[in-house]
Amino acid sequence: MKKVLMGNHAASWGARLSKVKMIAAYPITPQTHIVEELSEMCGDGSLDAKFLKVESEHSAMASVISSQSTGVRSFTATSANGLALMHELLHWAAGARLPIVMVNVNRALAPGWNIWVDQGDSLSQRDTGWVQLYVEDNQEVLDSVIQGYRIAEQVNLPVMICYDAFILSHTYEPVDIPDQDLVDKWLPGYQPEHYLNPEKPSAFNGLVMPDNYMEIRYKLHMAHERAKSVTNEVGQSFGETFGRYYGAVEAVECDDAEMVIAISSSATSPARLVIRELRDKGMKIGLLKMRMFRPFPTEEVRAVLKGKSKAVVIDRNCSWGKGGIFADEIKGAISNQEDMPAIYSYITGLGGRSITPDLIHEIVTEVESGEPPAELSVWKGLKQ
Amino acid sequence: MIEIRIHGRGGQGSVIASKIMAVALFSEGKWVQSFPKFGVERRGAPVEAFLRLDQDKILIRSEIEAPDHIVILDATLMEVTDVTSGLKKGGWIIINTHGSPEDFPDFKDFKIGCVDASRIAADHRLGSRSAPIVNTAICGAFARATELVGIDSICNAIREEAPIKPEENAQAAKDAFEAIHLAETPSN
Amino acid sequence: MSEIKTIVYKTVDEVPEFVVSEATMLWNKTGSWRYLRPGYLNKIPPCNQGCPAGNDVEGFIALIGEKKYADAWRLLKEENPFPAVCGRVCYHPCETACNRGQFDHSIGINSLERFASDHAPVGETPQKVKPESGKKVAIVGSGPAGLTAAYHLARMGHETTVYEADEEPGGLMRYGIPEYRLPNSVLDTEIDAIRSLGVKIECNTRIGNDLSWEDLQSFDAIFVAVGVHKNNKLGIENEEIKGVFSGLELLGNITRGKEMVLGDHTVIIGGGNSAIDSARCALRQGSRVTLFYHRSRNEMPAFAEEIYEAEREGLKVHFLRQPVKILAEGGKVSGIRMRQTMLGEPDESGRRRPEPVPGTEFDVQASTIVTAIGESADLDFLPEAVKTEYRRISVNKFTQTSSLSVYAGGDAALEEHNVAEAIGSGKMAACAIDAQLRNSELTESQIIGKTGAVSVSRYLKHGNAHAESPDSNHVVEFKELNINYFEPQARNKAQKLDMNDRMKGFREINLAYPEDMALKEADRCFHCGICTMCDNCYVFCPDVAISRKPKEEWGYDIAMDYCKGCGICVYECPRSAMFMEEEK
Repeated sequence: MKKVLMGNHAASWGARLSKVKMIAAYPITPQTHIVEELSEMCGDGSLDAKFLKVESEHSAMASVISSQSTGVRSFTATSANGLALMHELLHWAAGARLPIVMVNVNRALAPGWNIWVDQGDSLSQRDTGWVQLYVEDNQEVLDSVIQGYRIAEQVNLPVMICYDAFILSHTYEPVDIPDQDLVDKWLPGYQPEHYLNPEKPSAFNGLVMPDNYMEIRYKLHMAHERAKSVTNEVGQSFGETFGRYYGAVEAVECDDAEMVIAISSSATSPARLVIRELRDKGMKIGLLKMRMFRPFPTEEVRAVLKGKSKAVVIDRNCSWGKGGIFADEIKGAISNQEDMPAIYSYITGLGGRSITPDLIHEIVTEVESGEPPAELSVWKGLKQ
Repeated sequence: MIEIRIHGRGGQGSVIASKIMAVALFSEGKWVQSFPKFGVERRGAPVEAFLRLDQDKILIRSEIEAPDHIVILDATLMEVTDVTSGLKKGGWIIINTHGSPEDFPDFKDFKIGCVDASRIAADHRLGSRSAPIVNTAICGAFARATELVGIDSICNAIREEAPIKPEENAQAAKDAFEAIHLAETPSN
Repeated sequence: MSEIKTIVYKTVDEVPEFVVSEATMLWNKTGSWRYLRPGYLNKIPPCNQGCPAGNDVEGFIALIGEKKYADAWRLLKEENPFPAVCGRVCYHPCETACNRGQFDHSIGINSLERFASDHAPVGETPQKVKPESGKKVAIVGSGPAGLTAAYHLARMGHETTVYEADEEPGGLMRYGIPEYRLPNSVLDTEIDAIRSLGVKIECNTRIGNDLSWEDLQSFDAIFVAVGVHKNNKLGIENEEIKGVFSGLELLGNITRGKEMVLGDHTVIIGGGNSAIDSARCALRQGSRVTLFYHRSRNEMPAFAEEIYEAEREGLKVHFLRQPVKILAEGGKVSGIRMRQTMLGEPDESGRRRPEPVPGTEFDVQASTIVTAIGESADLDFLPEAVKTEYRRISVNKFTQTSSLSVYAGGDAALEEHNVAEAIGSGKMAACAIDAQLRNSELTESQIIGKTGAVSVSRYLKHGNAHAESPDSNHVVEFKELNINYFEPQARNKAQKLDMNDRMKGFREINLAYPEDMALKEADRCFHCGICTMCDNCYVFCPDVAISRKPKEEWGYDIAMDYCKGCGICVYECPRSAMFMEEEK
């Protein structure tokens, strides 16, 4: 069934089709429609789930940690300051190896107050142990929530699906809503290995002494390592069933490219336009869509960038005092590797500033001009 | 790709109007993208909503700067907003007004469609007589002027999207479709 | 414990993926840490103790809450034959005792009792609870005490005869409480139910007059509940002339349908309920009415609500005024001379004694004077063996007099004169007489709380109801509740008859709760000390040691193998229906 859906409702549909059994959430702009729609679905019985109203995002995360611990597929959604408030419990969810799926609508953190897109809220949760996917359009929002549960439940890690405030959250565009039967076949019910069960009580998440702690944490890290290939496998399998293929990264026209634009989230779409136009003009340029941020798809990035001369990384975020975060991660991934491109780092589009095809053209032109990369990330679009 | 900008006031339903148009266009096989001006809506304040349509998937994701057509839900906005900003020459301006195209001599580069959507909405008891809900009527006027979408598709979209009085809203669109005064030739 | 073995992981592969115990934790019987043990125990709600008639107040409200209105009435009837009467005229000390009063407003218990009695199944009568004993009991007086004793004695299987001096049974319920507070039809229904248990009521039979005390000696026991009918005198000039009535005379005459010509201005002397009832009756006869009371409003013994309503109906009340002499003209009342008083030191009743202020006399014109300064019992018919003191029959707390097999209750034996107290004493007498005649046991443990009435249902169960856990007779105080679980909610007020309608006659003033309001009011009850299966203990137990009993049973089980005795369940119980005790 194809419908014109806003991004937030695509997320709600993703949760509904995944047959989540428990939702706890606190509303925050620009996420609110997600929980509104889900509460209505719970209310009218189209979704058989408990909807728990809570008084904060911290409680929302605590609640889904609890429900997921009892072996119940759980969902929540938040944004910006709400995500920041969850921080402590994000570590808990990952350390307890709970396959929760959460949607985060990327929004700037205050002050100054700004409700528009900026990836800094979720990127600053980098080391909490969550798998993070950054998605491009409303269809991918819906598809990624469903895939999120497959990934999460295979590697026992929580998954965060991130997309841009307003540009996706409030925008209507056509979305194919898959048949429930098909989703049920592809995503079977959640059957945890361990869960809180009064009939067979176990002790959970207790004291781990120094003699085992490193090993436990190594396992968490290795689960992330597995999550990369699992994400690719799940994306492939999803495509085989639903006709839309996904992976940790997507390379467009990269095989013969000399320059590659690495970009994420909704800004990928105008970049596709730019690539098309420049290819038509004969330029050898490709696109690397960074869908996965954690675990970082190091091997995939190396494979795409090997042999290119220049890579432009466009970041809608900034690690204060360092620069564009994806650029930094990509530099890290290709260091100590041979035959890798020079990395040009650009920061733009913060706090809701548009990333237009013209702006991407300008960046490409600058990079093409032959100058070596600046030492620091270049802020593009500042008022001159 | 065709781009349309809708001017209204917070609470008038500009976003719903753009969504109704999008749903109608989508039902006719177009790819659509409809979104509000990204920001905070306040009742009564000038707001904008956007609509793009194309044969193929739309990849551009920024606000519309140079629309092909504009729709104005409230004529008083023209006093406070530069409604024609970026409007392409020869594009349609569809205005909710009891006046006629001759009353807008400033818009000589554009085609003008005038419809008294407020009266039509009030006749169908949509909203109150002092604050009629005009967003469905204006969709009918839009269909007639631009010929981008059929009136039946608009009416079906309204029936799907209108939270109350679906038939009255659809009829309002039909009435506006009939009633609109069109000045097809730009005077320049 | 010795079975526990420490697992040592030798390689990283052996270390598990999850921080979860390898086996179930059932081995870890945390119950062994416990030195305090929780338990469930229903206690006494303060309303139950506060009810002089010994009703299970919490119980009947809970049944109303479940929409079991007939069952609520049946429960009331276990203790009290007069729920319809009490639902109208009781001064509801239960509401004063109600813990909710310390939270927002007490529960409208009186109105709920009225509601339950309005929903009594038509024609249903409570059944006997014991087989015939072959014993006979005589009851002197058919007021609330006498009829309550008769009701319970008949239910307990004794042949019971009530002797009544007046024309119809009911005592002050009929002749002392006006119809606008208690319609006769309501009283008749409840008395008929007592008759249908086999109780004989012999009216127009005054002991000491129509029958002698000796005539009663053929009975196995006698209960004396003759009430108080001798009007206390003012002791001033002209008290016996035409136009001077006692309060009881006025009220009784109106009930008997005697025409009362009161004239244009009636003066009432007194501050008790009879005084107020007399005033309101006089108002309904079309007279202007002024009431003089020799102390201030604070000392006035009438129910505040009745005073308030009387003033709304047009009564003028003057405080700190006492009568000096009644003025006469042509052999009948023409007025009354009054003077001012001031309050001095407290007297033996604890109230400040009124002292006359010299030189403050003033005259008031009056066509009728009603004196209502209290009544006392006429006990001349009693033999010397039945001791009296201050014109009251001396009784112990089980209503026994100084004479074997003679019991006494009601106003003739009690300090407090009201219907609920009288009912309580009638119940006590019934239990005491039954205990004597059947040689069974009546103990203090059958009294509700420390200061409440006897509970017939406890008495019928025999033995010491609290032998195993004395705390079950503990009255739950407000501070023992966990009020975090209660939301403020205003008390529902029953409607009253419109002022225009009420002054036209003797139509009942207080109207009943409509059903939705009764349910809302019942929902406000805290159920102090009584488990309602709210699940708080079950939800909060950190060891999942609490489980609900199987469906058909009430309550919860505690798995003592795992209960650590942390006490969270007891703390979180909103209504103190749990307890902690030291491990033995």
